[in-house]
Amino acid sequence: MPAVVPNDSEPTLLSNLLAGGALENWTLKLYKTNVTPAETDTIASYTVADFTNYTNKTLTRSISGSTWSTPASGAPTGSWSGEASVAESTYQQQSWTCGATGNTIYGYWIEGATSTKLIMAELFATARTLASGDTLNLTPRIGLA
Amino acid sequence: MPDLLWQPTRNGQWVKFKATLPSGVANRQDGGLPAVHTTRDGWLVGIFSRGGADATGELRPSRVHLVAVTGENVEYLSPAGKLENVAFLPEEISVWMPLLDPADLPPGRPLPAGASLLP
Repeated sequence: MPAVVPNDSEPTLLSNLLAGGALENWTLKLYKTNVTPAETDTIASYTVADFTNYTNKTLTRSISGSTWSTPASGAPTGSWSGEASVAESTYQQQSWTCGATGNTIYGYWIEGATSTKLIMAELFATARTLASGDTLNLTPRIGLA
Repeated sequence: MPDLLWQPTRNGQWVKFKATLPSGVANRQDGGLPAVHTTRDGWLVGIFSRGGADATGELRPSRVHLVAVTGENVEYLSPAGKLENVAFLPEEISVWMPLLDPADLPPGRPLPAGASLLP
């Protein structure tokens, strides 16, 4: 299901769109509490994963072969929009491999690396219970309809 | 008076609604399961999630996730023996309305300072 962009981050994202300027990187985090993202949320609404080998991931605010892909028009991936044509970009796939102690991962959130403002959050369609040796792959995708 | 034609449009929107709970879900706190949260006038409370593919590529339809007093999703043991979230498809909800009063939010997930539920 599409990620929720909370009300609190909408002015920031709109400013980025209109004025550009120095853009802070984003941090991608997995969460281990069974929470459906709401538009009123902040980062305090989620509890970060802590399985063995867990690390947060940095999403660099750039377009390149190793960061966000060049935005392209096409049909919405996974039917997130009713429009026939939208613009989408994906970030290089991020992976985590669980060590000795696992977690059940319910979703992820993205926050400003400097501001720590919640940018977006998503509950997975199915929670992922990670045990030793299990890998979780996640491909962030942003679209504009 | 609820508008019987109203449907949520915003992903992540708080709603209050009437629906039949799956068997096995009760307003209880025994067994470590958090109690189902209700508004002061007895409506269930949930968050609308728009359908589509998630970041792992798995597809799900639009649904309303039932919320507990802790603010987390309510889980139950399905007939298949799996622990699942209590979630309702739009056609399983008899009536729903936007939740607009912060006092009706679950105590474990209060409205942040400066935030609003108003559209």
